Amino acid sequence: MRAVQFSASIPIYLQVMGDMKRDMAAGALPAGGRVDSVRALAARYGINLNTMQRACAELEREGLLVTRRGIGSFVTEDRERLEALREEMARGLAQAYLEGMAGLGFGRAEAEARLKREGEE
Amino acid sequence: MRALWKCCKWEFLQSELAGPGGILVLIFGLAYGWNAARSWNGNGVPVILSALLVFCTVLAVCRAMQWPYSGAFALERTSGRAAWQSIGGRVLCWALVLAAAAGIQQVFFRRCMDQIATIWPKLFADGADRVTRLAHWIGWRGFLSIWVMSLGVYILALTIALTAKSGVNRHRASLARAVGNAAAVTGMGWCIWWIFPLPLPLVGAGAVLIGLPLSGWLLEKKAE
Amino acid sequence: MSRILEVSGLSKHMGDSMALDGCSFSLESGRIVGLLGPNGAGKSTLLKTLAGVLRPDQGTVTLRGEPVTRRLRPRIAYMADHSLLPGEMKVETAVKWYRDLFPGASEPRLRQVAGGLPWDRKVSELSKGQAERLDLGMLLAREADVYLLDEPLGGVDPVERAHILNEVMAFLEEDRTVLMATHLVHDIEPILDDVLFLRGGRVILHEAAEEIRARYGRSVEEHYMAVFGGGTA
Repeated sequence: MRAVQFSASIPIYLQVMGDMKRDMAAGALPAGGRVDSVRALAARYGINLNTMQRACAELEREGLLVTRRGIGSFVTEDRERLEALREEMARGLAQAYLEGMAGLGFGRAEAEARLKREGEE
Repeated sequence: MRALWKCCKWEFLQSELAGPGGILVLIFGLAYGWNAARSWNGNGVPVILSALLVFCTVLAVCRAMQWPYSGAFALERTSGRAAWQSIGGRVLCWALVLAAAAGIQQVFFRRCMDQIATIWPKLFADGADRVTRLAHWIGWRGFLSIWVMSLGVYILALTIALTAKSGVNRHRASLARAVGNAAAVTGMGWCIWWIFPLPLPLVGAGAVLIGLPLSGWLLEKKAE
Repeated sequence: MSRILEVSGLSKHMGDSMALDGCSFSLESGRIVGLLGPNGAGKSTLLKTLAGVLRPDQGTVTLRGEPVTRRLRPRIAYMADHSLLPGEMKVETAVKWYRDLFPGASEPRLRQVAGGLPWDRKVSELSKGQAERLDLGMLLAREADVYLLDEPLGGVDPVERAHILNEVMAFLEEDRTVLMATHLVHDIEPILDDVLFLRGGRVILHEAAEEIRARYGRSVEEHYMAVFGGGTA
């Protein structure tokens, strides 16, 4: 049972999508691999079925999920698409870090230096 | 029709009669009554012999009064069950029970009659009169009259309970109020009967013939 | 998605006050809808009127386009905030009684949900959580179009609550609709599709939960506080 706590202030389907994207980028949901049914996913996340359906529909629209009628849902086999996803998520994290540091009053150079130090420890 | 029979069955099972307590009362009542019929002779004997019938009637009245205030009543209203089946099933159950009790009473009376016929004229000045009056209640006519009267009491109680749940103040209806209503109606009825003493079996039949469709109508259209 | 329940102009007097005052809304099939509002807003009255326990003074209720008559009553399944089962009955007997009253209930499902319960104990002797499980289990074992739940989680500990919510989720098929009145907004947020806000016997808001999150940037609970809190929404 995945212990994901969703914030109720942000659309839940977006948070679920984010969680699944992380799994896809990290390889926990491998390329071409089978994804559980919407019902099973909804049960695992502890959320509403319709919300889960919306999340999956959006992922499909973004080309990350492929549904084959009668067989099931699968992560896309398009490795370039998955690479692009990783890129997108990495950029997001990086930007969040830089924005956060700027908000604390740190300059750009200081932020980068700190990151390097953290990485070496 | 199935729903009517189910109603009847569950009414019986839910009344106290179906449990071990009920069977105990029945056995005790039968034994006591039989003994009284064989050996007692006084004025109070007819009352004692009627104990089972009185007990069943009181039980029926209690069941009738508490029914519209129970959770089961509300749940039944969400089931879409027809009012005539709901009322009919309950009335059928108690009609059968009261018929059995009245039948037992008849048996006891018959058993007792010989002794009473000899002893009462010696005990009381108007003894012969009393014997005749008692004999009036024995036999098919007597059985039917008594049965109709007790059933009438039940149906009256049912109608009063449903009326309280149908009136303008139905959202404030409670069992206590219904009992109060019943007491008031009984009191009024007694006064009216004192002035216009119709034969009791007729009153009973009237209660059945009017109360039955009335309670059905109330349940279908008005009660909450 | 189709409109399964349409309520129009529902009004009900309770003594001097109007418990329901021209209440109108419609429910779509396959949605879990939360009915929220302060005490006295008319939530219980609304559910009882939809279920047929109370009779409306005015207004119409249609199920799949047909007016709800006695024949359609069993298609609307209702669970009150307290157990309506006869307290003196044993659990096993109560289940049989319920099945006789609602012939559509599925036996395997009944056994499955009520499985962990003591069959031999009287209904009145069950704990609050057990009584809730029994009521809910029997309700969900029925084949109905709309399921009305009045405070299904009240007075139940968090473990039992989570269990009950899981059961609600597991039993709902694609085209079943649930209307749930509750104060525990926080607990049911993750499973809500839509919310209905009720005040003074009328519907003042009917929106998708995700829509509230996206548009106002806050949870349904926070939105409730804003709308009913008395401050500026």
